[in-house]
Amino acid sequence: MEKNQPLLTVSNLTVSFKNKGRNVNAVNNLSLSMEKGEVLGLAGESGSGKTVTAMALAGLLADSKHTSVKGDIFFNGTPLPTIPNTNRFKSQRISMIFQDPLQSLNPAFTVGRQIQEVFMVRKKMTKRRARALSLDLLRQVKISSPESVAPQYPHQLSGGMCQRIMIAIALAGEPELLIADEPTTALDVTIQAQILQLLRQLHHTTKTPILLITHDLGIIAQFCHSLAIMLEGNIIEKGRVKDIFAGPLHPYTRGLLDSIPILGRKDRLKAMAPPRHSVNPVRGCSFHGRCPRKKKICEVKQPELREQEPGHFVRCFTPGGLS
Amino acid sequence: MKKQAKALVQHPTGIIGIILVLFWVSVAILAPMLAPPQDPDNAYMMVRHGFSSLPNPPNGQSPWGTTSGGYDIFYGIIWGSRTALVLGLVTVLATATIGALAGGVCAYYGGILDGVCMRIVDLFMGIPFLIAVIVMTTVWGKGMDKIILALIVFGWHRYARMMRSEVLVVKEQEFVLAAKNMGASPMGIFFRHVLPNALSPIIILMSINIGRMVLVAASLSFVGIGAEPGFADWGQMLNFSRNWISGIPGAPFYYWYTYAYASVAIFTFVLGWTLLGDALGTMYGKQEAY
Amino acid sequence: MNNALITIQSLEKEFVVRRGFFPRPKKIIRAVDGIDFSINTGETFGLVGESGCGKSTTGRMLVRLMPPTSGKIYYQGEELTAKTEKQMLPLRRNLQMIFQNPHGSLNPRMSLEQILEEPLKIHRYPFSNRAKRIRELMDYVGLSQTSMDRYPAEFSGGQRQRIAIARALALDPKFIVADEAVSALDVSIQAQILNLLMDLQKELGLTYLFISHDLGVVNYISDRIGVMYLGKLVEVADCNTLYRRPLHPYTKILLASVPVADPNQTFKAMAWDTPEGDFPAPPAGCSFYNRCRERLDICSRQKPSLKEQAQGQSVACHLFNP
Ligand SMILES: Nc1ncnc2c1ncn2[C@@H]1O[C@H](COP(=O)(O)OP(=O)(O)OP(=O)(O)O)[C@@H](O)[C@H]1O
Ligand SMILES: Nc1ncnc2c1ncn2[C@@H]1O[C@H](COP(=O)(O)OP(=O)(O)OP(=O)(O)O)[C@@H](O)[C@H]1O
Ligand code: SF4
Ligand SMILES: [Mg+2]
Ligand SMILES: [Mg+2]
Repeated sequence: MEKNQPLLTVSNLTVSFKNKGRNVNAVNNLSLSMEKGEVLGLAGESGSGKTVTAMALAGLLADSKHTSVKGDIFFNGTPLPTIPNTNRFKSQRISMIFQDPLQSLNPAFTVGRQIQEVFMVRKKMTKRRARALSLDLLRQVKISSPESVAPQYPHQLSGGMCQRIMIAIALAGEPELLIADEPTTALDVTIQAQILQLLRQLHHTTKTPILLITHDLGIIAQFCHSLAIMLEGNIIEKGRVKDIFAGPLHPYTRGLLDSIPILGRKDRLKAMAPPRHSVNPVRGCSFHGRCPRKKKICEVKQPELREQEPGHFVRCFTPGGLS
Repeated sequence: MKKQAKALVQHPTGIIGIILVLFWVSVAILAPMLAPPQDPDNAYMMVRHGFSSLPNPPNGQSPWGTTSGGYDIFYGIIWGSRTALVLGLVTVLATATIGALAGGVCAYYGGILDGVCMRIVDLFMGIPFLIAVIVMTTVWGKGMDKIILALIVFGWHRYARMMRSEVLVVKEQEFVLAAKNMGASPMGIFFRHVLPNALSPIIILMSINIGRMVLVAASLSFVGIGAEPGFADWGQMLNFSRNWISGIPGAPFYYWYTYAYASVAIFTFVLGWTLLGDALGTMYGKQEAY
Repeated sequence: MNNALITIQSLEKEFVVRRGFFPRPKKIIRAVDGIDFSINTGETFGLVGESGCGKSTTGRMLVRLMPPTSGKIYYQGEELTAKTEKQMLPLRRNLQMIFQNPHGSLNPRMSLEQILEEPLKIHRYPFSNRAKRIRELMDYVGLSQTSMDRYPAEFSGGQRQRIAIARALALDPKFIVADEAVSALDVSIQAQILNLLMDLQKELGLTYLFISHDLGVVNYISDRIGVMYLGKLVEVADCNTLYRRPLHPYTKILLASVPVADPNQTFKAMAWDTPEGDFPAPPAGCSFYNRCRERLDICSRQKPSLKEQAQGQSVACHLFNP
């Protein structure tokens, strides 16, 4: 067997939006790879471009007057063009689950029909067969009485139920990659635990790799193999979850880990400097304005993503430990 | 405030609206200079040049000609702008104030008051506006004041409905709860927090309605139940031109001056306020989205 | 214990949901279903529970933003529930609230100065001292260098929450209800606001009711925690006890559901045997009955009441009150 070829390689992905005549890069020259069967967590500041990256991967961003998507995406060794009219081909291989399940389901159709549709359109199945398969799928996402849930409309179901339906729809396409964008942020912790448990079981059985976007470092610690941290449209640290939690290299990651309250611990949080939303792209490292470890060079030069320790990448001139 | 004004001016139709509105406002203000009245105590009565039953084309004495009955068209248009403006502003200010207060207070306090108030509004909604106004003015007789009164009586409920739905949203917002928590009085909260944040759709409706009210008044005058004869009013001038619109055989536009000036005046006046309202609408819409 | 600042007794709140004008079968929601607890001077009492269990309703009743359907609220021994709106006015300055949404809790048409001046105006703070007081408030929350004539839209979420806190502090309150005060903020800003609230508490001797669905946050800031389920308080304990030795089955599940931000500690989420959906409480029994895995026979017939089990830990569950 040859060396493990990554499942997904993204290189130099740049997404920019035109707003009032100004171009804003929501994603800036981002490169990323994902192994087969991996659960990769994507965390980072609000507005750092996590959702936009996910949308670009899933081919949900249309290249238009206001949006431009550049870069190369290789999936299983074959290129995935970022041109919009290949959407259907792409979304067959990559499925996405969103934060608000109620908004991403169609309120006008029963949930059963929405799952069925995927089978009928993508796999050209007959209605009867699609129906049987969709009931199976509902059972798979741990809905105990699919026959009574299938004829319901989204608004008749609870948030957790709707999220299960969304997962079922995503699975119906038999994706090669599942992207979940904050799938449990809108749910109660107990329901969140159920959904995460479900995702974990599904991952065990199907081995479908998952890109899990979340703010919750607890979810990352418990569910992901590796982790990428984003800041201002780029990845600033990437590595195995255990390595990053044990020794974060980037000052932002350090700050992030120090500023979340951990259940059972009461030591004082170390608050980070808040983001400054400047419109103009900053020179040098995008974090230098609020970095406790800033050096002269940080203001003038942008650091590259380097492999500081085996399998642990960081984009910083003064990576962790040196202080 | 400055930002909003700038956005309004940058809005392409907004700027046209503003220009038209400003034009008619200045005409109304400068009326005594543009067309000096013969009898300053009775300036709204149109100047007459004789009592000829035939319209007279533009000449040295009357620059835009006269209508049948010898009324000076130029004078009528200039002073008619005052009539239009006063009519529009008075009816709209009155309907908006009554409607916004009634709808706002009812929605804010809720309960039985709200229920009763909304049934009354529903009742008015069921009455066809134009017919009601026609009936009322025929009962009361002619006169600008009566038209204005009729327009107010049958116009306030639109504002009440709009205000009610706005207030129902705003009063649940957390800043209203915060004010209550501070100990602000219900009236204080209503005027300081609820009303200002519920007002923008009302302002849009007001602007559009200034034009609309003038149009309604003009149509009433046109069918002859509006202003008393000789009163400087664009609708009435159109009424005078009714018999002359078709011109004479072989020359259909022979009496063009009897209706052209008044039509253009009404059209630009209504257009100005409507465009302004539209621009305000998109502006506030944008602001809300942002 | 005589240093209770706030005491509530069998507090209840029912909402009648009517659809349309004509009397139709109305639906009654028992948002708060008879709860008792007290908050001591200078402590932070945390309130957790799932969405819709009545946390906000409880908080709002405590500062008299909503009249309770029944039950009593005492503030320093005075019965708030017996007071008229007018008698409440002088007391209101002691009872303040911070809301969840930093975008919704500030009037968008008022400038920073007007926002901070409003409570001073309402309570007739001497005019000559107002400017000084406003500057002092901005110092408290770390907003000193910002200009006073800016509007809420010109501030970031964290700054807006600071303004809301400054406004709540304006009248020197004794007691503040913070309803999901940090939930809408990014983690870095969340830590700042939490630290700010804790520093202010020390400096000004404040007492908090801290409402949140985030157990990590509540555990961090609170001294004691009350766990709510379907309008009822099912367990009250001090923070460490609750975390180390939860007694009520719901508390256990709640704590076990939180993924801990430590990859070396394994997640012990209990997959629930029961399917998801609505779980109406049996009318006669424990409200948690339908979801409970340790339920007894008696649980469907009799409502458990909140009883003290150990020093400072009370539970409402038949497992402990046979
Ligand atoms: N359609 C769009 N047009 C213009 N700008 C956009 C658009 N979508 C996103 N952006 C901008 O791109 C940036 C990245 O947004 P994105 O939604 O990816 O952030 P995020 O990391 O997912 O944040 P959050 O954690 O809050 O969900 C933001 O500054 C956002 O304002
Ligand atoms: N004004 C109201 N009218 C009718 N029902 C209401 C009203 N306010 C709250 N409720 C209902 O009362 C119950 C408790 O609501 P409450 O807002 O107190 O819950 P919560 O615990 O704060 O939830 P969340 O975590 O979602 O904020 C809910 O079922 C809610 O739908
Ligand atoms: S009283 Fe019974 S049903 Fe309720 S939580 Fe305790 S054991 Fe479970
Ligand atoms: Mg996002
Ligand atoms: Mg709430």
